[in-house]
Amino acid sequence: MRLLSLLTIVLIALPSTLLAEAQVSARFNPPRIVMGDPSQYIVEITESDSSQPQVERITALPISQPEGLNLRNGRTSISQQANNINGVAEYKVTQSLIIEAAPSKIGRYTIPAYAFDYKGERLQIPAATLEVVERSADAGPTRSEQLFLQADLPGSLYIGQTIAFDLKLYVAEDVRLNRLNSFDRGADGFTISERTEDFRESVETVKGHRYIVRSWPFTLTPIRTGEQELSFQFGLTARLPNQERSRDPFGGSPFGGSLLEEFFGRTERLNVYTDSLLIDVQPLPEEGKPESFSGAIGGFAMEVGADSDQANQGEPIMLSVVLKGRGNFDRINGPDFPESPDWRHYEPERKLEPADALGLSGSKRFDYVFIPQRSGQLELPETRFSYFDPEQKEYVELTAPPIPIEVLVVKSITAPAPQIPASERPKTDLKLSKSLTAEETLLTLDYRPKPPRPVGSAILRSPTFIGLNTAAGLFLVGSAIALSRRKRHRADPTYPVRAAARQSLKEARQAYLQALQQNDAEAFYRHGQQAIRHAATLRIGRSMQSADSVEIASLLSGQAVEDCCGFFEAANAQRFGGHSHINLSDAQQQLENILKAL
Amino acid sequence: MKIQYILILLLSAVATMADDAFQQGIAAYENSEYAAANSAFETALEANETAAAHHNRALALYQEGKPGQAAWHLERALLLEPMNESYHYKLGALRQQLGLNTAPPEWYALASRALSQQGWIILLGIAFWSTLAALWLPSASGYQANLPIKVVRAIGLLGLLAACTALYLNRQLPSKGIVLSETPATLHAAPAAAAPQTGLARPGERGQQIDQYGDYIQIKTEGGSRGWIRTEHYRLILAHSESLFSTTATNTPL
Repeated sequence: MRLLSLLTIVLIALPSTLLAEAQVSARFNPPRIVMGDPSQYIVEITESDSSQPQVERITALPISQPEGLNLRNGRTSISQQANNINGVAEYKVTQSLIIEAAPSKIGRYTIPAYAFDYKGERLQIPAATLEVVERSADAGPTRSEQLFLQADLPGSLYIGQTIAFDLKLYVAEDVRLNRLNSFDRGADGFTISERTEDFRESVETVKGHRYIVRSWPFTLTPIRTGEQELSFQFGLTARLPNQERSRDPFGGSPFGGSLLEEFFGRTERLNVYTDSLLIDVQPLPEEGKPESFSGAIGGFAMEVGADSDQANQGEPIMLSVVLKGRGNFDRINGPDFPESPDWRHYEPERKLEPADALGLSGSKRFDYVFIPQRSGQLELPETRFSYFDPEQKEYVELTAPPIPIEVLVVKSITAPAPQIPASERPKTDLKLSKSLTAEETLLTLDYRPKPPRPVGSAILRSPTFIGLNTAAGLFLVGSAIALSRRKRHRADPTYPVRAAARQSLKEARQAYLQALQQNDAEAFYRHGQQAIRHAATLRIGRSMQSADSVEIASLLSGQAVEDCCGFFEAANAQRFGGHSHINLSDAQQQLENILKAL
Repeated sequence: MKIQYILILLLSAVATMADDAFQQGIAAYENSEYAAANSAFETALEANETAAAHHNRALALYQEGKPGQAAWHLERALLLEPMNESYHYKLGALRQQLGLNTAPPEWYALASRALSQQGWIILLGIAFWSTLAALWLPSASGYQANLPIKVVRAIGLLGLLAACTALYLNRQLPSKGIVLSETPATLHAAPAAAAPQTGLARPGERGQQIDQYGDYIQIKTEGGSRGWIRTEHYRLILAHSESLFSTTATNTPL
């Protein structure tokens, strides 16, 4: 019933969807700009119908991009409108694809007409032209001069190297930044720290213009070698001064925008990008790389110490390694120590104490627990730590000598559990004096013990379980083999003939051997011929019970043919001639040769 | 014949002894003699392990102010009788009092306890062989599978799926244990009393055993703490003989 209702709805909705009329337009907004100002390429698809049209969201368009025009940051928006005229409803849905257009030089840019598929129809997008004219000498600053984003980054870094940099948003003094809407970054070959909510504000003068600069600190770590691209983008809302007014000789004011400018300025949503930032990421040199190197890059100093120079056997000793300096602390795992029969050691506890907000400088402490495995004068192993210095472009290895520890013998290596002083005991929810809710129910005994069910997986070791499963497996395999043979026999029509021949051959063989023992030549030849015929039947799968020597010889080759003819002739001679003195051992040899050949 | 007679006699004697101890435990508990009750239920458990005896011993231990051990016995009782709502309720109340997570187990975790591990293993074996037979034998014999064979296949596959899922959900059971100490136990960074403290394990808290060295067991508690705890403060719910791959932990008899 539900299926029927659904089908009905679909059948009703389908024609109205198909009948929806689509109109397409394409344009640049504005179609004429001065060099440095942005424009937008807008494609609009408007559908109108008496019922609400279903929108198919467009994610890509086959635009052929004119040379010198950079199209980027496309987005879609959908607007809906409903009219009711004299009781007749009309719905209109407009899907707009808005792509930012940034020309690199003066000229006319035309995006030619193209077609694309929309809801199974082929829609034709008309051509659109953008005209970019030269900037006049008295023109106000361009958009990219009013608002721009800059990141000062080195041209080259080593893989794994962590650096700090500031991302700076420059806002011209006459622009009022209302809100930052979004932040995005393109950095496939890097790991970058998250943008902080806090920023630093300063004033800078660039090319004679004063800017209010907002700076955000970041850390950057390359994770892929080669030339890697990096980009940042802010989506923001700002009030820009009116260009016409800004050219007004009376509009300017040494104290910033005039009241008229403030009034006539316009609020816009903008995207601000950094220029394409390319960083050459180099691999760390293999030459001179110490064995103890584990990825630390920067500049470090090392302090090593043990908490005691004496211990009982089985009691832990703490070895502390403190690395101080500047570098990629988050990638430092601490020195490795080799396994030793004298010591058992564990992964260290790590503690980073950063000296700056980004964690690039400070100290990192590694506390290793070493447990002596024997008594005597032992040494905590030598500590080696190495790092790569990107300024000197070389590896540096820091070493600390072994620390002597005197390990004493104790009768029992186990110490009693420490008693935590009452004042240091953690406050927990453990209040045994507190009565339980519904205490009577909770503290009622179970008066009826039931036989428990077996627990655990020890059954897997049980010989009965193993035996039963083995038997089941063998039975299954045996059954499968037997069934498979039966299937094969059913499919092979010669099988019954062959099976009968095999059995008869066995009997005939026994019979002629018995005749041979009794020196009964007639019986020997009779059973011998039968044996040959059964063997021939077995070979070709067709009854050869009435076959003569010629037919059987046709199945043989070489000496066996002569033996066959000879045997049959001798048999006939015996049968019809009644020869009583025949050498049966030769005849048996002949017979065996024939049977072997068959 | 004689041996059978002696065996029957012996078994009935053990059953009678267990029953006597169980009844003595009940009497002692009702007289508020909790130490005696604990001892009697212990004897009953040694003679014949039942969920009821574990449950009753848990109540006696709780009355004695030993909530960690009480929690262990309730967990063990639920292992033997997983569908007993009263045990679930009491364990939940005890854990609440100990400040532990009291969220009821998920339905699939409960369903996985519908059969014992042994039961799931037997079901797995039966389902495996019957499914294999229903799949293989018709193709080996060249006959098309008829409806009964298809039903066997479907049931077998369902059984396989259920048994595998249940065994997977119960895979950590052999290493699951309870913190027995009556006060929060210290977890150490290394298996030594002087090693730095990495956290605390609450009485009755569930844990997973990771490693063992000397008198220490490395565990991860349900609260996320990880470290080494003394063996007398931690006990596995499953006995060694009940695990296929028995752990090396030594459980102190309670």
